[in-house]
Amino acid sequence: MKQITLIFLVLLGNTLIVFSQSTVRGKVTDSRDGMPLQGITVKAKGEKGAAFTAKDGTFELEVIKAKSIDASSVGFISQTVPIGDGNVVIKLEVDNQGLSEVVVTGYSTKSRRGNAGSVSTVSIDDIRTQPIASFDQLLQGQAPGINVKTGSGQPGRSADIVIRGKGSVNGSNSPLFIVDGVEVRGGDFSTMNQGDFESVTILKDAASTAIYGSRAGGGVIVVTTKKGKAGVTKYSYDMQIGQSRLPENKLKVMNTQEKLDFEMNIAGNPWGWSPAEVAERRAINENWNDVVFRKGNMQSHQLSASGGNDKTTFYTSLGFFNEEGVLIETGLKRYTGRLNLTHTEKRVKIGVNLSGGWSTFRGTGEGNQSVGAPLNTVLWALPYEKAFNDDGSYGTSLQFPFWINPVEELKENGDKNWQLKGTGNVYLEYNLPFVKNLKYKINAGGDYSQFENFGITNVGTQGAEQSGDLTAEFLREGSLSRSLDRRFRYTITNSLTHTAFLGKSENHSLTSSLYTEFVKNQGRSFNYTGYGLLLPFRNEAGLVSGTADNGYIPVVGGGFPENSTLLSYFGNVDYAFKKRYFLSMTGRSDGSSRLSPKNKWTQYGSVGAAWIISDENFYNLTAVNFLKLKASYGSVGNQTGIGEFPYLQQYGRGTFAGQGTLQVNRLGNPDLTWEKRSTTNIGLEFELLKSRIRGSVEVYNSLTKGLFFSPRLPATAGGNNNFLSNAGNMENRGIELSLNVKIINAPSFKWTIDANYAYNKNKIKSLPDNQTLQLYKSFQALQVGKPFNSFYLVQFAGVNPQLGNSQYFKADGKTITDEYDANDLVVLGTSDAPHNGGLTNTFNFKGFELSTFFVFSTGNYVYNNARYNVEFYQYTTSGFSRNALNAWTTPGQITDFPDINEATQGSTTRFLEKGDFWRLRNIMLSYSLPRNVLAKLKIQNMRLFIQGQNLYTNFKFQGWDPEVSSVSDADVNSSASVSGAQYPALKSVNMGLNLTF
Amino acid sequence: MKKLLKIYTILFFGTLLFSACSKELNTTPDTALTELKTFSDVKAALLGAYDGFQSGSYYNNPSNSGTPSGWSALPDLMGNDFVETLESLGNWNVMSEMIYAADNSTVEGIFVQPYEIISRANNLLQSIGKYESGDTETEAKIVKAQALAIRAHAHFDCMRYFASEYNRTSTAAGIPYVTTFLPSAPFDLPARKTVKENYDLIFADLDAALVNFRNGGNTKNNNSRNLIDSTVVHAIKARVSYYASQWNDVITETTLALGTRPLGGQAAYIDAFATATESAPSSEVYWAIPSEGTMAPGRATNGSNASYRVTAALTAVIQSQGGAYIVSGITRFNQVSSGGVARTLNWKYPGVRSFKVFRAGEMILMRAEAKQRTGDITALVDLNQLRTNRGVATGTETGTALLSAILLQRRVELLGEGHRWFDLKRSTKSIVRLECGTGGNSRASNCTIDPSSRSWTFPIPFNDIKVNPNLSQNQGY
Repeated sequence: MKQITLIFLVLLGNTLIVFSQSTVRGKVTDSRDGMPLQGITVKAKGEKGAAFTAKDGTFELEVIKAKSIDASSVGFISQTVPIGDGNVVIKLEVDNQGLSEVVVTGYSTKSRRGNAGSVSTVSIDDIRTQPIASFDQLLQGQAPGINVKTGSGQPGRSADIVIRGKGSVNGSNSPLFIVDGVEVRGGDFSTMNQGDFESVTILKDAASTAIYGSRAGGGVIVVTTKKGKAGVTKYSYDMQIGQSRLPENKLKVMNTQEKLDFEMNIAGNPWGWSPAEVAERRAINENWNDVVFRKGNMQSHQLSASGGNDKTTFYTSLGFFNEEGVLIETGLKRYTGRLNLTHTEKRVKIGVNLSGGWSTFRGTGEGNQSVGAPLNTVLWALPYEKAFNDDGSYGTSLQFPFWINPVEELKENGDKNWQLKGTGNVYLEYNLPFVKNLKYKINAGGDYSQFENFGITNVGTQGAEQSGDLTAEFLREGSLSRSLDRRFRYTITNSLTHTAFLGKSENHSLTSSLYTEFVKNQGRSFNYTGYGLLLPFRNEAGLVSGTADNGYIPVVGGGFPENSTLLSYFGNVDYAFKKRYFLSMTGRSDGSSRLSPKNKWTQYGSVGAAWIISDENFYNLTAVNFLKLKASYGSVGNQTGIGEFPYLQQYGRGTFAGQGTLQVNRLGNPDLTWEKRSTTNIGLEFELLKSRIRGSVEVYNSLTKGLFFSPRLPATAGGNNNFLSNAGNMENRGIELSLNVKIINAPSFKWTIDANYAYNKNKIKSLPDNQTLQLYKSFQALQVGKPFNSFYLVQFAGVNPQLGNSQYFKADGKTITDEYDANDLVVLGTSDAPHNGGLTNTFNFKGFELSTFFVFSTGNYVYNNARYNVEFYQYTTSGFSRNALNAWTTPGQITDFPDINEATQGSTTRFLEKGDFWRLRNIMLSYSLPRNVLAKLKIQNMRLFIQGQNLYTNFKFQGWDPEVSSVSDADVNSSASVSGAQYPALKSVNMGLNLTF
Repeated sequence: MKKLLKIYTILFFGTLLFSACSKELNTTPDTALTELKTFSDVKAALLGAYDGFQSGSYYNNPSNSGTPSGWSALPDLMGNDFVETLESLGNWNVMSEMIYAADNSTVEGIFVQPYEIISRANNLLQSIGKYESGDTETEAKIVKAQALAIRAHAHFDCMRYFASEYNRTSTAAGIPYVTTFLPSAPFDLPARKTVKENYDLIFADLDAALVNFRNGGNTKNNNSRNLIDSTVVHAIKARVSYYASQWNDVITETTLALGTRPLGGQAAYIDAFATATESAPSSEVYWAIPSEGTMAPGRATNGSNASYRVTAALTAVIQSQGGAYIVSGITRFNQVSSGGVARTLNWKYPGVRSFKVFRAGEMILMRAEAKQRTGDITALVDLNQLRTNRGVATGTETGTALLSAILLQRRVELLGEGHRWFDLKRSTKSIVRLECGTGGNSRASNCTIDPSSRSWTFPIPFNDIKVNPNLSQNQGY
């Protein structure tokens, strides 16, 4: 690239030679330490000539008439310096505010100062080095109002993100992800490289999101990727290596001695063992965690190059990420590449952003109660049985025959996934010649993802034997399945934007934009399962062809998971007066294929205003150097998460007696219409003590009307209870605080605190047909006045000391009864945490930086189904909870664990636990080499770091981690219970290097 | 300002230039039909109604996750001829211990699934009208007959669990009887009808089915007996009459049914439960719900890790009778569990099998009992015919001894076929488990259930009462 730059400069020189000109020489240095700065653009003011500084900071610039030159570079505050005697020395100051001064909304970029909406900008630089494959996980605790549940430690696992509370019952509550102006599927970030991301903006209120209309019900997360900068080409290499380990499980199961004592003394010796048989088993003490879990290594590498000249800039990168899970055999390998180009030619700017990713996952089932899931069977294993027999074969269990050895299941069977992801967009901007400041832009982009799954059950494994036992004999002969799911979405946006400055001293500025947009989603999937895996190949070649006799007839399926379109017309007007008063209005009209023909179209809008009080003449509060008040109101809608044809009655396929069948599997609703969420937002932004303290307070009130709601139908209605209606209202009210304090800001030592806190109060305002209570999920109900996802259980009142039975509170909450009665079910706390926050402390000392990042979440409950399964009275012959050592056995015994012979009731608060936690999400120590050393080494930047992830978590929940999430639960809107099979969150330590030269 | 206006005009028309066509918003599903358009769609919808019987809530027992298997395994698991084993994962424990509360999900599945099937039958009955004339007339009548019989059968099965008694004229609460499918009014809230009204409607539907069979001809292409034909309708009528203690009707209907599908010999009995003969079963089989490679109605009662085993008492009876009952395809003795315990297992439905809803054996036993109860001396002839055909010694019992012999033979002949708990409910309403508690090598711990227990009648599911307050709850819940 250097050579090209040189040629460019020569060419530039040639064209200018006809004019009378002079040469200006100079040097650009860093104002902090006087070190030379390379690659700074210097331009003669008002002329075309430009040059870049060399390694020693010097430059030569041909000037015709100009009296001064401009020096600029991203990351520094631009300066204009008089030429004087022709030898110019420029000291550039670092721009600390950098990107945070603009707000990227996806469609446009606005100044933060004048923005009336509620947005949070995440400084991605600080968090992208966290050793996590999926970018959405990184957002936890980074900004107020965004509630991120990391869910599990499964490599590549995506997070559950909710912005400002859940606003939909059966529709989607997930935010919309926009990367470079194009919608990207939220679950796919494990195949995208966050190292390429430049800015992350979270749009929360209606003034910010209304422009996204019906896709913005759950808020919007806007990502832009890195662009090249004109100047000397920069090469970077970023790497880290590390290791993760298993945290401690707070759900304790008994060891051999405890388990045998329990079986003999409390559970009544269920197998009728003789003392000799018991003694034999006492000699074995298998620690199943040791054979099923391991230390997982990870490494990541990224090479990138960026640069360009006045007309063309580029950024390109190659990334590699490899993470081993703490569960044996599991892991993720990812390869990514990106190329971003822009080119400007007179009135036209064209650009392209392209990225591709390929990843391989080996995962394991989570969030289920399956006896085939290793994460369950490790808990249910018996400590007095071995994982391996003496001859090295996999151990089987005599005591619990449905149990499958998790080591064998992971090593011999299991599934493998591949994902191919391509996203990209091309855009063209054209400044129209006939009207000043009128710009046309077309942005066309696509998001392609392809997911392939391969599953295998080999002959002779316990998994195959069990299938043979439980289903059909031929399943003993093994099986193999493969599925492919590909989805493509394209978005085409056309816009015209006009900017006008009006009035005498151009005090009024008016930016108007009009847009049309078309989004089409298409998807196709197929899958098959083949039987009779008898030939010695672990792929399709191993399958024997099926006949009616051998029964190896493959099962084939498939469908069209996505088939929808969205057509929109929208516009936006931003008005500013004296850069002090701001007004913003947005209107949008959306047509969606997902809703019934008579309700396909709807309109949204928002209005927002901001006032910089501190700029007023009457303002004289010197301690508060910046004060801004903003307010907005508007609405957005939702048409996602409800399937593609929710308004149609549908007959699905089936088979009976070898013939095809049709049956109603959804009741149509010709009245199905939009779910709308309107939000009022009021905020105050302030800066105190010469901006040493910066912060904001925002309050909001949002109301979702016409909730997408699948009411429970009377059994007599039929239709598989699949019916979607608009019913009821739900409110989310909250307050968000964020604070940045530079406690110590000396040149040699800095201490900064970033804190954020959000409280969201969710309340069901009304339910269909004026009902006050609706059943929802197995353990939950919706009650007017209570939050969404509230538990609905009978309250456990302890154990009767005399009889050992469980006692319950009657519905009145006072009377104690011995009998479980469904009429005593009461609405309790919610599974959605109302309080969330993050706290970062950063210390800088001479190139060293130490940062600690804590997150916390309180106020929610989790139903511990994993504990239920190891405390259930009939499962005493499998791995069992240590809590049962206190099971009631003798009259007078005070305990909270009932008599083991009592039938365990599930729908009680005995298994409901608090989900509160706070954790040290990240601690990082880094060292950046000083500039003089860098200069000697002839490199631009070098930083070394060591970081720890999740090193400490404070919680009481009896499980691996209190952050449980809806992995495979049928409904993503409820993350109520840990069904079991929880993949532990990873505790990891990594070290790495960032190098730029 | 004029200039600004001009710009806005340009903006407005400029954007319109690029707008896409709103026709793009009219997408249609590729894998679902939105209405029954042709007669072959209606026929497929009939099979769709049948398909509902393959649900895990009805006759299937798809995995060890405890779906109800309401009318295949469950009545046996809850009866007193099976005992829960130590290997059981306890998925039916609450059911077989009879300790369910109103919010039990198994009970809910049993309440919901019959109505799911009924709604499918009603849907096609609503669209069949226009095919009842012209080319499709006879075929439409055959379809209609089957749909009516399905509707009656599903209502009756549901009533068996949720009605407290079975008297033909009882005014006790039965279940809602649904004859319309109202997709546009899913919140229609029917109340429970009385048991008598249920019977009236069930018989009316069955008689209408017979009329349609008479007019349109009998079901065709039914070699595998997966479809309802007129013989099956007579069998359904016989069973309903049997529950209603309408003994003369039982004799009439069983005789009609046995007339077309008589009792076979030992081989026919054994073959009835073999997979090899499923495509063309013996005359013993009247109606079988096909397995489709997935139905395993006996999963809980056999295999190497059976959740329920046959009691020692009934084992002794089977062993003393011998004949077809001790063949390995029917019963297996001394099956050693992984815990080292030898048990007797019912082997009628190992692995994937079609479920036999009606068989000749049940017909002849019902006829024998009806005859005995009405003083017809040929009751013994029927019983001895069954004994002979099963290779069991005949007898000469009379009076109450004959009745006891018939009832005992019913337990042996129909073991594992979904009858026992209902037979107990119809008679003594009493269970005394001899093999009970951990010491008895069983998981059962509720050893005595007396007639006063509320559990003899299932609770109307809590969730359904919440949605439909017109449903009254059964006593005790």
